[in-house]
Amino acid sequence: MIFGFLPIAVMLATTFLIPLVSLKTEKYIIHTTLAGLFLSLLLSISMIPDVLSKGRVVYQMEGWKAPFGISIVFDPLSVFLSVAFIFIVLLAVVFSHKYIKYKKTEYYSLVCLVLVGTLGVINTGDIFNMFVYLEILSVSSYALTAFFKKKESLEAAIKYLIIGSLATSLVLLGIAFIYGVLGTLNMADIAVKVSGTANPVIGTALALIITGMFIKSGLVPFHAWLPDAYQASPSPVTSIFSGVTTNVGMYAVLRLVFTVFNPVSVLLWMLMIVGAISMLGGALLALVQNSLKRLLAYSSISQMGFVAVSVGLGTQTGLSGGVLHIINHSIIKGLLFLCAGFIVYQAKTDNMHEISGKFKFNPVIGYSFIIGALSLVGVPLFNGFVSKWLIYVATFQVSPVLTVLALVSSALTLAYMLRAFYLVFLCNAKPGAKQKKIPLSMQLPLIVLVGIIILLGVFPGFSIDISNLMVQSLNKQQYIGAVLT
Amino acid sequence: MIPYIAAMALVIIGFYALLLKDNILKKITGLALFSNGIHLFLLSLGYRAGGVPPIMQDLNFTRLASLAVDPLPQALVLTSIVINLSVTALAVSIIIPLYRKFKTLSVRKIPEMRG
Amino acid sequence: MDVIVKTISRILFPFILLVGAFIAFHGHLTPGGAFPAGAVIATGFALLVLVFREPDVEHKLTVSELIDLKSVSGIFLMILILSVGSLFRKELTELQTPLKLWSGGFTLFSNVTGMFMVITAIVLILYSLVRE
Repeated sequence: MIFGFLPIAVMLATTFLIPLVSLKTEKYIIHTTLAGLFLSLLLSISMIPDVLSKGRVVYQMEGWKAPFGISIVFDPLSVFLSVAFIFIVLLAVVFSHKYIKYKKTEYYSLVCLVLVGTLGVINTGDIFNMFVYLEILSVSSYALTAFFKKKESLEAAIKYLIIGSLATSLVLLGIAFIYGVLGTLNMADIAVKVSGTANPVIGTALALIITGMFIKSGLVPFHAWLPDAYQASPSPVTSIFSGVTTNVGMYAVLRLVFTVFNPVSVLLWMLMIVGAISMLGGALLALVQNSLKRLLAYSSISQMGFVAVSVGLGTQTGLSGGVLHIINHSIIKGLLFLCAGFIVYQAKTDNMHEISGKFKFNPVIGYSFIIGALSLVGVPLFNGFVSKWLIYVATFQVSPVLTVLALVSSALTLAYMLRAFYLVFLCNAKPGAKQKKIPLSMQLPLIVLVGIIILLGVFPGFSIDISNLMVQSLNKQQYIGAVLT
Repeated sequence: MIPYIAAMALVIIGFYALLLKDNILKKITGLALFSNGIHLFLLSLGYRAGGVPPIMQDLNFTRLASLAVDPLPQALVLTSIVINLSVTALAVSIIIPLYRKFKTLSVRKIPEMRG
Repeated sequence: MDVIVKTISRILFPFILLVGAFIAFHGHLTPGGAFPAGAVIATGFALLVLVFREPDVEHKLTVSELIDLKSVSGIFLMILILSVGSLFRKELTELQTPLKLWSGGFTLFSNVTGMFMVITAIVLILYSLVRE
């Protein structure tokens, strides 16, 4: 059926239209991109009433029936995540209108390809299809990391490439084991066939796939590529990375552990331990950084640790706290990395000790940074508080040690964000610095994101209802029933 | 039995080259070997002893289905080979400016970003 | 390069194109399809780039022509899948007889369009790697 493939198809069509448009004129590239993004956002929003009334909507590609063909599954989890991710990419594209001055064609096509990859991973119901879209996503982000051909960008890109290719090769090996034992590649069919006895080959396959997804998410033993890749890429691209591509790994872990395979206690303990190490390790390493973007990158590792701990608990509150924190984190980190881009655009450097006095103080940037920092810590009235409160409540019900660790990590978050704010804004600002005029297209995304943070913080019931709805869509029996009939 | 041993040998040799060699180009070659080992493993899962290639000569479906080897892993491996081709091409086109700026290909001497 | 090498490669190039086109056009009857056919034809272009100097080859098949070909074939492929795959499937399969050239739904068009996309991708990579 046409309609299932249409959000991904619109973004693919935009990716192919951009080079055609750029060969005639250069002015209309960004209009094409924005048109494609708006159309895709409208299509995703129009799926919401359908999904809310029916539970989940399943399309089969090209009419082939369920266990043999590729299914496209829309349920509340995938639809709400798609809407949030398309929105973040839209704001990043608006920001990069004045930030990227040359090689525009390649930049906008690659950003559209990243979005094609994430929409594909989130909406598919077939495990090899997920691998292919994950590769599309990864290859475009390797190319985007090396966009400015500076020394550090090339080094970061080659590191990211080698580690990322290793991760997806591990995922392919796991898929090979699953196909060898079970004989099928459809996720619902795997869920039906695996609920028998425990086969050690399937355990090995699951371990390989989840290791590959942990490497892609940047959890602590596997985080070596993340700070370099975030520091060396252009700032709107970094906000897309932290808002969209790292969260795709956690979505894949959720879908595989809870819907396709059984959530046995070994898996959940592994998630909790890796998450706890990431929470503390990321926060501690962020305290000693001198560069603003690298500090925010380590903070991303720490927040992914929060999500992993909360997902690894397995309870309803834990899962909804984790899923809500994915969306909240992408909004907050998107805002913070766009602020960093704002600062780097004027000061031309990233080092927090050298920034003071080199950029013009603007109320927009000041309020955005402080609101983003407070929301990241979990202060009430902002949306970070809602998800962090759910995480504290959920960890307290299982084991208070985890709650203590989460609170310590939040305290460390407060410490390094305050240090960053002090060094960047309040530390001997020399008067009479050269002042460049800030274009409106760079201030507008910051204002929109701040508005969303305050709105979601003041009406928390809305976010909690949506996250409960998203967690119910992970139910295994309903998934199998919807796809295989 | 033999294709599986050969596939695992390729995987181990590629993994060794990816981790322990000092030159970046040797690491990329190791990555290519690693993924080719996985492709060989995936292909030999679909083998049937005494099978024919899955190509229809006449319209007799059931006879072909009982004699032919499995065509699904062949499609998976074809897709994966194309993906790895583009990753290798991207890696080489990143290494060329890297060599021009750093004047060396050794992994120990390149990293400037630490911490 | 030597006169013999240049003459032989100039004679050989159309046959390489022919082999690649055969692999693509019979993708629904024999092994192969879009990707091996694109790889074979791109190897033919690699032969030309090695034998003659790269600016001469690029003069004949320019980068902007390649980008046009890639974008147009990409959009054509998607329109094909969306329209024929859902709307015109019944009419198309009634007109075709199995095991002949004109069979297999729109696999024929899909293979040929995919071949063009693979050719443009690999030849663009080839140009940018060999360029001074």
